[in-house]
Amino acid sequence: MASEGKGCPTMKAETHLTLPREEDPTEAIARFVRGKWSSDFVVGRTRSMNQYEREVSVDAHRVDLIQDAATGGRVFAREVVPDIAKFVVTTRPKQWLIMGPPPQQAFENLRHQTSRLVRKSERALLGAAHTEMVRIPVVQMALSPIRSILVYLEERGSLPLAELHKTRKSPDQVANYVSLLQQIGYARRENGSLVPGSGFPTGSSDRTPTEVYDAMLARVMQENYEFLQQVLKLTQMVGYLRWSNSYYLTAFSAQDRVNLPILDWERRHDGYYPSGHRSALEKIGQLQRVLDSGIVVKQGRGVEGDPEITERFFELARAEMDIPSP
Amino acid sequence: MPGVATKSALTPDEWRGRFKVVYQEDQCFPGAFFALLTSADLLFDTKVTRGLSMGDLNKKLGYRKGAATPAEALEKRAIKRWLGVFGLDVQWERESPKSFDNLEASTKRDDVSFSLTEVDLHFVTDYDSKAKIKGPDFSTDHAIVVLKIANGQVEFFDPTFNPALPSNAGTMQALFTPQFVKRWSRCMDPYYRVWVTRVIPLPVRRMPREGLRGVPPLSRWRQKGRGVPP
Repeated sequence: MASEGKGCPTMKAETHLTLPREEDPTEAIARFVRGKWSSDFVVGRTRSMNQYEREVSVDAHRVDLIQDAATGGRVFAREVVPDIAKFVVTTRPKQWLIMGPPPQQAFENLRHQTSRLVRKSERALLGAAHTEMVRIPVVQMALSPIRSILVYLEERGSLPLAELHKTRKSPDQVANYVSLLQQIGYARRENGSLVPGSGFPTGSSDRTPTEVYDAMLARVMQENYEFLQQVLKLTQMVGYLRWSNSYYLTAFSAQDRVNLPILDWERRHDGYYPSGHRSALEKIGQLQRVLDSGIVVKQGRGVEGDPEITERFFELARAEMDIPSP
Repeated sequence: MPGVATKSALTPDEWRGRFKVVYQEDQCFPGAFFALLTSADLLFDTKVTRGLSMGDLNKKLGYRKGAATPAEALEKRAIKRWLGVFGLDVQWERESPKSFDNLEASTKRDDVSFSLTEVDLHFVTDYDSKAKIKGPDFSTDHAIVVLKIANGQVEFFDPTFNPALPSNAGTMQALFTPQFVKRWSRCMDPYYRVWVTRVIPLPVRRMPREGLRGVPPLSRWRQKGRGVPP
């Protein structure tokens, strides 16, 4: 251990170690992070910064155990989370000086990278399952003001902005709806009114009006999910996306459309979204609605993903996470 | 007794967290300790893990998610006391280097005890063709409990094999010794071995009372319905 027992290392805000020159500093960092911080941490890349300094990155290695309820098989999904901490090794006349971040920062980086992965997976899932998601009644209700505007534009050709202000929505909310529709090309402002934009579907189609509006809303949801959630505060749909993502991200780790026991599904949801705690009653309601939507289907003792959504999701998730196709 | 703890020159920081079994859900040492206690239940007919989930055990052991794994968790007095209620004792040993001979010898001792053992994760595919290992290639250790080494075979218990049925005897597996040794963890970490032993003997079963449904009468006298023998 790097100077353990010699009274040299100090653990203040930053990690600070000194080591005799005959020892290998990279090995000492490896032993230090594994022994003192977490057994998941290993030394990754090493980069020379100048003649006297080099940078040693620390990665996290994780193994996720996924059980398939249908086959009884186990999948051990390995994952590397790179660069959660960086140490700088400086050459001194008789010793190595090793400076690094405090352990809390490494764990914070790990959490941050995990939540980034979850966000990427959510984006991929919105791309793969937006059509199914807008059919969930609660999501439909959340998107109903946007649907009303689209129906009005289709039926009457233009919507006076004054008309929008007569609704119970605040001026800010109205401005946000208009901005959203302009951004996606479904509407544009013209002489104090909203008129169909360049992206508004034109001409007759084989689809029913409901299907057309669902498709339009699906695009709104896919392209502007964060805007809907953060600016328009349409948080009702968040739960459904999270539940669906908890299954699909697990399936992606296993690289298989696994049959996930419902209890595992719940546990994984709570693991991916530790702050999104809900009561058991709310949970069961959300679970049931996700199952009703067909995004995730009940199969025997567990749940499985829809085959088509799974295929699309795997493709989009690989692109989001920069993973080459197998 | 197998668990006579040898005094080690190593400091806790040198071995803490190095015995590795990592699952996102089960998390490191508690997962391995759960294996140990599940095996104790299986072999000693105790009920330590009945109604106790891996998460419950984590809490009991004071495990903090994301922190260094508390390898010394079972060494706490409170845990020893708690296990004592079930008639179990836990002991440990730290030494370096580890050897297969040590492990084999521990399974041949007079009292019933067994060791938590570290193997390469690929070990699971040696005995279970349905198991798959996915993702980037890096070496990972996996914890199993070695029950017996005899007749060229290693009998072991892998808690991840059928966690829904931890007390199912079917979850005990056997593999030929050379295969086991091949997957024996080669990492140079200091050796940390935990034993669980039964200190209170198993209760002697009372003879079931005759005449109850399902209990065959013992004597012909009773079969004839003559009541209590003279």
